[in-house]
Amino acid sequence: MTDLSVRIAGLALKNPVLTASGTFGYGTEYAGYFDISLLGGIATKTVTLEPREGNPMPRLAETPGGMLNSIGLANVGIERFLSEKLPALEGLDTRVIVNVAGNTAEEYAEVTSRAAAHPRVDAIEVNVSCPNVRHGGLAFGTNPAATAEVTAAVRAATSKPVIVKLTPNVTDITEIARAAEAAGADALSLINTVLGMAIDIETRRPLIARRTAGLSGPAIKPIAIAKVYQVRQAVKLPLIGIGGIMRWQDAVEFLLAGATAVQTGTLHFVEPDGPVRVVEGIRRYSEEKGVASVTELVGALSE
Amino acid sequence: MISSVSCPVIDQAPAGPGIFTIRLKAPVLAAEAKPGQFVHVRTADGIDPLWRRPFSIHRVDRRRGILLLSYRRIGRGTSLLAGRTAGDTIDLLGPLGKPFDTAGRFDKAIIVAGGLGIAPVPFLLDALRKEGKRAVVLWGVRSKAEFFCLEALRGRKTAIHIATEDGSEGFHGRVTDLFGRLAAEFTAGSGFSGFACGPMPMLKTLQPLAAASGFPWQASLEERMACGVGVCQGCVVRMKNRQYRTVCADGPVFDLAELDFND
Repeated sequence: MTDLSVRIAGLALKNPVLTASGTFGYGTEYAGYFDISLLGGIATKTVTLEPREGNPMPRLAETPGGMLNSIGLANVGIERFLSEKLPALEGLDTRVIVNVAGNTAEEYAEVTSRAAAHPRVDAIEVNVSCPNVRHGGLAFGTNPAATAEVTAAVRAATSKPVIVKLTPNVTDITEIARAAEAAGADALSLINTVLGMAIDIETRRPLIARRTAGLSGPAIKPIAIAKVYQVRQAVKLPLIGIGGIMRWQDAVEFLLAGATAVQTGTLHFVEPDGPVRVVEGIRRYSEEKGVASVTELVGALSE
Repeated sequence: MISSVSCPVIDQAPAGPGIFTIRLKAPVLAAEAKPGQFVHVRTADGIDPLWRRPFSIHRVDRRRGILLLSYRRIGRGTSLLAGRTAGDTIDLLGPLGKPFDTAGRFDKAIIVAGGLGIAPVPFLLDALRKEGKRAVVLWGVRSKAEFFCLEALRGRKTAIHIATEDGSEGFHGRVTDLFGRLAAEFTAGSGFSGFACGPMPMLKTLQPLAAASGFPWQASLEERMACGVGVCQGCVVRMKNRQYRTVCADGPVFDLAELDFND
């Protein structure tokens, strides 16, 4: 019987499968579909200081093996998140990671301190990588100094684990990863969506109102595997691999590339209970391979 | 409880040019679904296409546990669905979304449908008949070949008026013009309630006419969807109070007066 538990910066997860921010709501929307306690944890939709209505329509487009989204961090704001959304997660036996963003490093810190003060919150994930908002997000995550500034501000605002979520839309992701590590991050999650665009050739209009958007889904998995592999060589921090996981085999690939845990995202839109099948697949694979602890798979590429 | 279920195809037949009606064995869905709700259908086992496709429920046969969908073949997903035959199974997620309110204090329903907006109307009529309510259906299409399931729309306590944009049958013009022509017959205070299903431009044209009618209108919206359950926030519609609502979870049925089509 393989031990599926892993530790991310002191945070014990019952298994290495989490849900990615923005694809699992505030954690309870899918509660009617399966037992969320079967997962290692959930990352909430990004929460900001003030409520945000998000971007104009159209916000979505389906592309070969993937999808473009330009939601624009639509969320209820930290106050309503704490009073209306978080209480519903009380009874769940799974880790709750609150994903945070802001217009300034100070805003990131304030959302963090208010979220992290709640006992139900186990960790903070810092979104410096959303491609769909004008301020914050990508503007921080594509610059090592700005990434360090936000990371340090969040680090100072909580003693709970801080996970910095990285964008692939940079020349050298390891530079950003090192900056986050030096500024006090406990772990890194990667990758956020890849900047993408699609055009209707009849109307000559972009399929997304804001023109460019974030590409997710199986199309980006090889990009994500490569980024995890590169960052694994560059930093000592534990990594959470994200990008196009549709089957358990994809998750195992991320573990072998160097991720300690994974997040599923686009998968939920196709199969709401897909992440549970990923957990079961990892278990079967590990047992067939005679692996005592799933941590043995992390970075375990053959020479 | 909403669930993803594998449903056997009973049969499938063309209903009009490029329009298909598929019958599925889905006892739980048939028992639980309400008119105006939809199912999110996986049209491929792999990732092409990636998303499910949302279809409003055309009709149910609760006694025999059968669910019907009517749809137009327009792309890869619907082409794959049109290729399914008896013996195949299809993965459905549902029933999803907010249904029509058929129990309100009215005794006559005016239903305005544009094109394939007719899809949920037979199910709606069945529910209205059960409530002992009368209905008048106004249905507009481009050309008469696009009419289908007319027999399900006619019947006890139901009248139907049809319109074609090319004048090939019934009223010559759009269904909203037809409603404008007949509006004097439907006046407030006589127990009417309105229902509208169709594309956004039709609903936008109907909105001021509906407001002038003096009775309440429910409108069912069509939109592309990824998750179908309110999680991804990708299918929002602007309300008059300036807030966005998700078509999949807050709708697809909304109060027509509250929708802001000028966004």
